Amino acid sequence: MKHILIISFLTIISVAVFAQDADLVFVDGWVDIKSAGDTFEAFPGDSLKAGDSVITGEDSYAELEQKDLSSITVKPDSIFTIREIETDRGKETVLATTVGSVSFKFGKLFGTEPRVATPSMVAGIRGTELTVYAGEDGSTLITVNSGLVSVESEGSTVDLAKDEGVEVRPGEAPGEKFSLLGREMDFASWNKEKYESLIADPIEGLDRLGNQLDGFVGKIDELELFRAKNKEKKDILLEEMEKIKESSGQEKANVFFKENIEALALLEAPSYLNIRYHTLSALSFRRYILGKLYLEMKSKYIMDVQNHEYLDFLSSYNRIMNNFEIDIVPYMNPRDL
Amino acid sequence: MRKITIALVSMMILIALSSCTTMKAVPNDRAVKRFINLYNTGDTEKMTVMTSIPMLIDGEIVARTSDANFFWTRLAEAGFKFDGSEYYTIEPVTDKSSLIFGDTMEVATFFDKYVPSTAVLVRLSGPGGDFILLLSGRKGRYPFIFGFTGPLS
Repeated sequence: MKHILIISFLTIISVAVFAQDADLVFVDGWVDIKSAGDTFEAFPGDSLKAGDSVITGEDSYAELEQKDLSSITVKPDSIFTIREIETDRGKETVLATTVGSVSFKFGKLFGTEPRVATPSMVAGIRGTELTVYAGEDGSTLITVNSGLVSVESEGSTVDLAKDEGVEVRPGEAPGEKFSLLGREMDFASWNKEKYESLIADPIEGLDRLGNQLDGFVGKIDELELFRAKNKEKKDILLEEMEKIKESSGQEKANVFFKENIEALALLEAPSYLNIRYHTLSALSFRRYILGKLYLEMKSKYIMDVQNHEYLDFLSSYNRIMNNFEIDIVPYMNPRDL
Repeated sequence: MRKITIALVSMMILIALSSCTTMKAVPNDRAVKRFINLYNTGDTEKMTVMTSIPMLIDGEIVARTSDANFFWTRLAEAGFKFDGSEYYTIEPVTDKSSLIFGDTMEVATFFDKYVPSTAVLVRLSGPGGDFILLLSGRKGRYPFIFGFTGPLS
């Protein structure tokens, strides 16, 4: 019991040190906060913690501020979520944009640097002003106003400096970076172009989105494998500890636990946190990107449900949804919905 | 003078009651008929107002008002209407109702978490077959819609 208490204490401390919550400082129009499964209207002064989302409507936007005076502007028709992930540098805040456009202006950071993510990329940042555009086809456009941003996707990285941008398509490495000088970024037009390209060939588009979901599943599988190996090692060591207890007494067994098992037990919490991170990322992707494509196709063919393109789409959609039910749903809980 | 005052106060109470919002009122036959007529007029803005978010469309949970508006607008543009407002059945929601929308954890959780026990399933015909509307509560003259599925196979 003592050991369990120590482990829990360490976990709580690490959250307190590194979690970067945010306060809502300005709201224009109707904005929702989704927190612990409940959705309610947002007002200035509301606080967001890890796991919470801000959802803006077509004519609304919200501004958030973190304790280090970093500011985040969630533009109209966007979904922004604060998440946490465990890395080799410890627990890090991930500022995730599922769809829409969010601008960041980071102040003097405390703890570890936050990461900025969309369904198709993760970016590390350093003293930066940047805007992230997450398109309704799962693509990302990221532009930098100041500082340095390192954009990572599918194992490849592109470094961006002031007045540079890059596009990342779902399931692909970042594209060629481009200069923003003399170029006016128009997210609405970019998003429209991306969405039209997605629905021009919805079955191919759906396959791409399915591959993106498979990417989340792959990351969860890796973490599960790690957990399984860890548990196997821990079970062997626990048996050994029992033998030590029988032969040499409780005190020796406690020393053995501290030296050999405690570290393994501590590794379990981060992998659980990261599985949750990828689960929630997959859920957001499915809900707002794949779900929108489903609505598009359902409404397009509602008067012609036997159309072969629609039936082909449904066949792929049902396959992806079955996989989602098998691979992602077991890691979800009712509060996620 | 006293009669006029009483009449005015009564009228104000009636207006207040008719415009009040509740998610738990059981939609009666008249409210259902009004809702079907509302849909068939193609007033997608009003349909969006009467959509409870999140809403279920088949097995998909629609979590954004803009997505609900997109769906109603696209249905209206496609010319989708229900066949008259006279022929429909109303049944209360049961433990098995979620299966009409999908046999998944998400649909089951949606029903547990978001659908009031007073909700009803309205079955009516439209192009290509029968459709189900999941309705509950009231705002003014209309019930809220919590779910839409069909055509049923």
